[in-house]
Amino acid sequence: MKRVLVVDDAPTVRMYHKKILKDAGFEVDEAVNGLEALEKALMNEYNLYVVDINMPKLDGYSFVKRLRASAEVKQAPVIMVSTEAEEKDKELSYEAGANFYLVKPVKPEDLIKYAKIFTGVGL
Amino acid sequence: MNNSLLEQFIIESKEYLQKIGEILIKLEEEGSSKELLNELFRLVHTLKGNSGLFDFPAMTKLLHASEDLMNRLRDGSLEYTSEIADILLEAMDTISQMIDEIEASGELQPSTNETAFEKASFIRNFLSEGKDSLKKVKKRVEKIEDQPTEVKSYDYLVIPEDTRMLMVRALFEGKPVRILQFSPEEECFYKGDDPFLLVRNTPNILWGRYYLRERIEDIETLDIYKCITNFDVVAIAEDSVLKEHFQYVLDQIEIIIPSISQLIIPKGDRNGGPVYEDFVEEFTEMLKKGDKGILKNSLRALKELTAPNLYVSSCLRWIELLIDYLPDSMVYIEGLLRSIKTFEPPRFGEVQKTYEIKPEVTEKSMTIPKEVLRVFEEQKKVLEKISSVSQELKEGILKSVFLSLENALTASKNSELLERLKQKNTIEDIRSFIEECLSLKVEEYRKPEKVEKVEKAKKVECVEKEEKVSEVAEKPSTTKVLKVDETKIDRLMNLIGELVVTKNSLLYLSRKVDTEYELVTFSKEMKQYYSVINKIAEEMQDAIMQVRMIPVSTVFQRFPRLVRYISKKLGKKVKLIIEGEETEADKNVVEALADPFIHLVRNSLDHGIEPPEERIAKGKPEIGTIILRAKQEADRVVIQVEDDGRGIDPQKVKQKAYEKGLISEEELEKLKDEEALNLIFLPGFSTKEVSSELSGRGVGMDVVRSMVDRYNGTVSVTSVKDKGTTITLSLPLSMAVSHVMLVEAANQKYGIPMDTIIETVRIKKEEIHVFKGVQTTSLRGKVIPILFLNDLLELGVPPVTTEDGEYAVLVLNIKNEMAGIVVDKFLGTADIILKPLPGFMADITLFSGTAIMGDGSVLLVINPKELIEWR
Repeated sequence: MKRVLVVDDAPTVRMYHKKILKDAGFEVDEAVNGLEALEKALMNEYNLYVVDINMPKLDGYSFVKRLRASAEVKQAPVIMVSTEAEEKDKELSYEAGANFYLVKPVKPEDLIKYAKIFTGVGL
Repeated sequence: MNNSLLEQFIIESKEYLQKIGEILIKLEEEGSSKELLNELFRLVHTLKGNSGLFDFPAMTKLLHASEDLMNRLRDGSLEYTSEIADILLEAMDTISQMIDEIEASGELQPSTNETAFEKASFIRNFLSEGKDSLKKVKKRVEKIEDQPTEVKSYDYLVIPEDTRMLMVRALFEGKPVRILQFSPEEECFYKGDDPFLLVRNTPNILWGRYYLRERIEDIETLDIYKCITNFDVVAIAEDSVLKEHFQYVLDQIEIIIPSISQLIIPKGDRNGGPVYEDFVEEFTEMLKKGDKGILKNSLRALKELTAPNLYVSSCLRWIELLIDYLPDSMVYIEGLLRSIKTFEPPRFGEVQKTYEIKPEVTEKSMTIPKEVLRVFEEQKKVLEKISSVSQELKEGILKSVFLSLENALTASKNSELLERLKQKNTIEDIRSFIEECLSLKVEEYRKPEKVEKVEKAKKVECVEKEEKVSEVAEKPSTTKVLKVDETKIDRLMNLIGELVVTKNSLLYLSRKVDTEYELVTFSKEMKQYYSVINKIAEEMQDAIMQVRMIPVSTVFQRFPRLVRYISKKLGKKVKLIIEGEETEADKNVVEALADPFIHLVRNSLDHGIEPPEERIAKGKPEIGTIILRAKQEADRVVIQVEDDGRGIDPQKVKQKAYEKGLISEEELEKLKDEEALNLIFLPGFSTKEVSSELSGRGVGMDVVRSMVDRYNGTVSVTSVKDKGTTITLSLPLSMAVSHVMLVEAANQKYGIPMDTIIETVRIKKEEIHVFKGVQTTSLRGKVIPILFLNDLLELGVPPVTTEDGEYAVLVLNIKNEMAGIVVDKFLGTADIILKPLPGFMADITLFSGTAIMGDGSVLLVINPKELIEWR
């Protein structure tokens, strides 16, 4: 089963994403901020990260940067999920090393579809 | 509401709103700081994000507008003013209300939605145009109201076919056709409304129906005064006409505009009847010629051959109608003709195109679904950024891009491309590979247009399914708070209470073993075990009580807002200080506190604190202070409201009480100042005009008093003229188990609540003096009245002294007065569960209730306050 790490400071959003992904057959882990996500990423192997941008302690950009700079970690794809629909946020995400950008609230079918594509699960 | 996600959302939102409120107040007090503004922005931002998960567009819109406003504050392009604070506070109030509504009913009231939209556009206008935006917003809101209501899904099949035919005719003739849904409010009967009559009188009504909004579970409990009926009405009338007719219930109606294609729904048995293939061919030919007469004749002939309950017959009837409106109705006729052949519900308009598009699969391995292509496009963008990225990230990013592409191709089963990808490893190679893939023919899984609709329906289903699954599967791992039904804790509380009492029987038994069977060692051992059980039981009781404890801050939190609001209205300057808000007390006690407390704070603000000019004239600081203080004293929680306002004038209070006939002339002269102050708690003391004259301490003070009394609490007041007033409430920490002193009088046991007892003393007979006809004694230099329990209870037996000729006296504190009560014997203390006197005896206020003792006997618990008044 593919493992996904959902990173978001808002419990509601975490629950929502987790629910959707679990239902689609993913194993889901969660982290409440970038720092916790980084710790988890270093200790576990994930096939995908679904990451919020605006978070306390360590925001989404910084998390991805640190993830990408960690040579020992398998560089699984990162989907950024944020309320900002502006191009600027997307570009910043890609500069940090994210692979995709979805705007909140994410449609369940979109999240499922792209999670499957990014983890290589048949559509 | 069994939707755990929504519940989570509500809990979280409340938390955020609380924090937002606090920060807004803080901002005003401390001035704007970047940190606070950032935090504020973050909270509103998250809240907005969360709300977007649900279908509450009004809420999301309002939050979005607020977020934008906060963003402007944060980046400094707007300054934080009191006006903006008001706007934000109001917006958050609306959000709070929405959350409450969602919590209560799972949905939002239309009126709240409207308010939210209004406020959102107000903020938008404020942002774009500045301050004089109010008028424009109003206009805009009106405009929105004028717009025909948006398309709402409606089950058109509930409308009978002949009515639908009339509707279609009307539509072809260009008349306004409306479906109106009317859900009268439940209390409408009390307002003298007659929804049925209103519906019956709908102008130009074509058809109507009524149905129950909720299922009647049990006819016994059905509230017949509650309107639970909904009405659907079809009328040929303009919105404005309908709105005028329903003008008093506009918030309860919904207008739907049906379209022709929605109404043409053939209905009937799909089996049987002649073969229609030939007919369809023939008819199509005839249609081209367009002779209505011939068409109709041909239709009628077939109709006669077909049983009217058949699906085909229904189609034919519709076609017959539509012929009248040729050529406009051509698409519909064609749709119906197809439907006769396929028996599938007719599709009109673009349907033909969808028939032509057949999923065309070319070279399977070289085609890529569009989502996968999007992933490729995005990876291309990631690679474009890579040159500007620091060196240490490059390798990681490249790896992630490679992995993304690899997975995407695996997902779409493009094995050939996958093989080729695996040979690429430089940035340049991968980039050109992406370009190549993007130039390949796009296969979009093209399906007929209708698919989208089906998917939408599926989505809803999907979300529902998700919820059900997750309810079983998911244990919210992050939640550290366990939500428990209050009744469960109450049950625990009762059980432990019983245990505490039952354990007392052990003590009783051990005594019996000692005295009756003279097994001294056994008795001692029993006592030892008793003390162990006692300790455990007490700890357990304490632990369970802790569960019910909540900090008083839940009540105090409301006050910064309240004080700010009222003081602003009154034009007074007030600083609010809150002390000891972490003090905990039983949930019921804390909740009981809320109302009296609001009363007290309002009073302080309204009448205690003087206007700034007056304060300056008196030489006081311009800004008044109100202190809310909570602390725990033994097993009571003490709460104070202190202000440095003008205080209460005891003379005026006395005068007023006398005028109101609450005290006699004698009392008027006799009453000490402190006693006079307590007059404000008398029922009937306060009226509005008194309150303003007397700095208004009387407003609802008796209400406060009775509230506090109900919870076995006390209230007292101290005040110094022009210095301020302090009102102190004292309530028990919890209410389940009472601590009583057991006493004996005339060989009967009684309980007296410990919290009224100051001390127990022994007094010699000769120390009792009759003083002005009252028996008194002096206790450490203070003269206290002495009363005999035997007399008070009219037991008819003279009081007994101890062997030393002393009386056992309980010194009680009743309404801040001391009194000595002579009893025969003290029997120690006990924890009891007080049960109110049942039935007819409930009127006997002399006893606050009964309790079952460990030995099974019944203990009467005296209410000392009444005891004194009983006299």
